[in-house]
Amino acid sequence: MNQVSRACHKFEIDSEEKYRSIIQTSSDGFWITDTSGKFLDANDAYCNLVGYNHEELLRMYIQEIDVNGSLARILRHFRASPNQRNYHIEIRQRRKDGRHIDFEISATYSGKKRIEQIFVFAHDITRRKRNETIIRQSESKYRELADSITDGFAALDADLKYIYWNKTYEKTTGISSDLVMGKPFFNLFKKNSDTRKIALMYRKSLRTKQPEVFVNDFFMNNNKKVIENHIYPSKTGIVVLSKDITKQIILKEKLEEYTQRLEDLVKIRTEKLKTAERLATIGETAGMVGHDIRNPLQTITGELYLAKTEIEFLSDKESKTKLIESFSIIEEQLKYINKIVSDLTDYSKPLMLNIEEVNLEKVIAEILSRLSVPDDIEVKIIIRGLFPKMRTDLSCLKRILVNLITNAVQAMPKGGKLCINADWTDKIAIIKIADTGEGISEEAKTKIFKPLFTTKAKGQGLGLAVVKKLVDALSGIVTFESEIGKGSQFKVEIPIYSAL
Amino acid sequence: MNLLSEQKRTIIIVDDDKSILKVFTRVFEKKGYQVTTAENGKDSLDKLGHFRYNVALIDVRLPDMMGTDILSMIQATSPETIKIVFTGSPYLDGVTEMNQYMDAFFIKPIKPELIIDILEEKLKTK
Repeated sequence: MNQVSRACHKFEIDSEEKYRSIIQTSSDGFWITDTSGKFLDANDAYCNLVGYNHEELLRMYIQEIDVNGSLARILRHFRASPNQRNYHIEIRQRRKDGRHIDFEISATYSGKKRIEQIFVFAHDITRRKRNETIIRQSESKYRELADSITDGFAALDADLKYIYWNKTYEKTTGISSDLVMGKPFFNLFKKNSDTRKIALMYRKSLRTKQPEVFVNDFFMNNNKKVIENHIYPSKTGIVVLSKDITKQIILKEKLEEYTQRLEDLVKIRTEKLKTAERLATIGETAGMVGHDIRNPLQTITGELYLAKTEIEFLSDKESKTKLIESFSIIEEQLKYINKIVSDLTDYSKPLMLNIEEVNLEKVIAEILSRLSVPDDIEVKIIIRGLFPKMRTDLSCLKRILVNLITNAVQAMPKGGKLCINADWTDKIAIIKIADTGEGISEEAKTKIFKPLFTTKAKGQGLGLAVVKKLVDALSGIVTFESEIGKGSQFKVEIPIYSAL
Repeated sequence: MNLLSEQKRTIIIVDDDKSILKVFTRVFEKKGYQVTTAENGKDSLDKLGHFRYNVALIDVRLPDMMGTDILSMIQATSPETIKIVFTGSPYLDGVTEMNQYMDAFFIKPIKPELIIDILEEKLKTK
């Protein structure tokens, strides 16, 4: 116990009993070693903490217990700074059962010229250390989590200074976390309408302590991105989550576009269906009308034939001439009625194309010889030489030309000029039929190809509707130009070789 | 059944339109034909069963049957009869299918002189 009395002397404690009781009642550990590390004394608390009894410890050196060389550090410190006689460090030791125990120690020494004995008070900080580790681990876990979020994630304090900026933000903005940390929002971003709006939302959330959501556009490498931002108030400021919703927006826009297209399609189909229904009705009516008119037409034609044979027996020359004239007019008008009926049936009947070789020149010549063009109409035909043989439906083509030429003739009741022009490109035949007649009014221009529309006082107004239908059937286009008082020109463009 | 031995040519006209029957009767009588008429399918079949005509002029749409049905019956019993079909409804189904039995097909109105010309030619060859 010589050592203890010496210690009592050092701490100016008069009685060894007093010293002992202080040392022994302390819940912190206390030990004394010499500079070689040999234990000279230790209190019960230390014995309990390291799991060795007093006798065992006094046979041991501290190096056997130290995990990170506490004695060496203490000696190094005191030798380096002789004026400091107190040294606080954290050390780790190994208990008898092998478990580690962490101490925060306060060391001092005795000896004047040189260090003789080391006195150490040790406070068990194992639990604190463990908690610290847990906290550190959990913090890094959260950081990892925040960094692994594919959305942008940032935290700002009440002054809108950044206290966290995750990897996604680094990637999307090109600004690294180091540059952002601690900087206020407007130090990082130039003031403009977008950033002002963002700051406004941040401040609103700060003030109201309510979450906010807003969407903004963000340009990265000239690509527009649409960002949905969620702001959540936190204890010290706000947390911001930015989600790239460009893809969703594009999908949504596409969906809307598809929907619109579908609606348009339905509209067009409905329109077509309506037209088809209307045409079917016209067709049915045409069929009935056709049949009902053709029978009386047949009787009239028959009677006219009989009358013409009877006329031969008439002796009065004048009456005979007048009757022949009448019959010729009746015959002419019968032809006209017949044409109307044919137009009606043509328009309503389903088309069956019969593609064959067609010589356009011949067709035009034949039509003109068949139609009786009045003498006061000058006919001019310009057909580009070496016009290729066409492959198309002859009866369709004929009907198109007959109707257009008939219309042109009828547009010039006081005479004029009829010009038929045929030209071609490598695949398309272009036929123009022009008159110097009355012309078509602006109002009439919009509905000229519609069935049962007419500018003529008589007639069923199916001529151009039939033309349109037949040109369509030949995969062609029919257009026109017209000026009131100057005349009209219809242009038919059809494939020279029909694909059908 | 009478044979076609007489000099006078015979024609049967089948149409439900009385004015057509009337005018064609006069047209063909003038041309020296012996004319028989029928207003419906049943009537025409009765008459065709008792006599073989040189010519049959048949409308397609009859009140009780299609003229084309009569056509096939004539084809079976009297193939040498010249069969002419005329119609006011040119796009009825089945009309063109019977083409093989027809000697001619017309859409009303048809000029009588055209029928007469065709008959002259056909009768000469038959």
